[in-house]
Amino acid sequence: MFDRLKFWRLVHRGEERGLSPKEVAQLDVLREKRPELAALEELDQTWLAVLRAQRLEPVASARFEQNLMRRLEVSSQKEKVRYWFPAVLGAAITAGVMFVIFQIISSPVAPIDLKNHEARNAGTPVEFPNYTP
Amino acid sequence: MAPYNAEAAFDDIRWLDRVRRGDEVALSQLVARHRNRLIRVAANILRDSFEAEDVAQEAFIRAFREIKNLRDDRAFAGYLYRICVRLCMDRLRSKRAEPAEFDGVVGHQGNSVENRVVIEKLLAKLSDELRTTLVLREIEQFSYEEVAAAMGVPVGTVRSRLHAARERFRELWLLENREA
Repeated sequence: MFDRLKFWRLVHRGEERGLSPKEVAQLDVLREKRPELAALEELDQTWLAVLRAQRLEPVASARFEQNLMRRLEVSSQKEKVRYWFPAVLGAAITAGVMFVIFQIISSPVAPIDLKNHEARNAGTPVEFPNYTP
Repeated sequence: MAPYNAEAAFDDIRWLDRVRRGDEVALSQLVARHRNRLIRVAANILRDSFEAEDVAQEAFIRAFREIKNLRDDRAFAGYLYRICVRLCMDRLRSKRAEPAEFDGVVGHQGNSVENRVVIEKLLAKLSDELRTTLVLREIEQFSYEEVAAAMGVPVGTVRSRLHAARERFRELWLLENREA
């Protein structure tokens, strides 16, 4: 168990930043002592070589930059709309409310005919003064 | 990111400054510098070159949109790759719901096309985190620190994920060869 941990720690350290001569010697001793670990290390080298060989190497298409610029433009427009939308919406609502208030205030009010009004309330026919030419 | 040096970082700083002032030429220069590498990283994580181009464009759009929030311009490349890796992982997650189509290949004889299909089949069996760590380190040859930066995790997490990814891939590889 201890050998196994030490073995893999040395293998990974070697890959990460290289090993000192002393560590290389330790690793060689462990390889001899635990051949099954050395076999696993060899197997790792096999599949890692296959994995690395399958590296994809695409290059940008001819229209990459053109498409990017178009998407950046659309994104910038959307951002502007997102930025200004609350202000524009607020202004539109305020203008609507102001318009309604203005309409209410400025609409002409008909004068109240007090006599007719009272008569309607009393439920009696309206009496007209006698007319004598 | 391996071919990225101090001089390149200095160019990025100059171009970013001009991009912030609305200079489209500088924006094109930045895109030209990073596009192929970005597409390649995305293609190897997703194993799909067409989708990789779309992801790379999306990464550029997000990076330029958030450019005001970038505190250190020297970190632009790392920032861009981080966005790209995150987008790739999102796509992998959404692809998990779709059934994979690898039924046509039984075992493999070692030729290039079959190897490719087998590698894709085995990568698809790893979790998104293990797969991305393995690809960035073993295919893209990122350093541990670069993998950590691109994935937004500590280096120790990269080490443990890489160890787990190798163990899992080895198991799958043995199983695949036994079936063959």
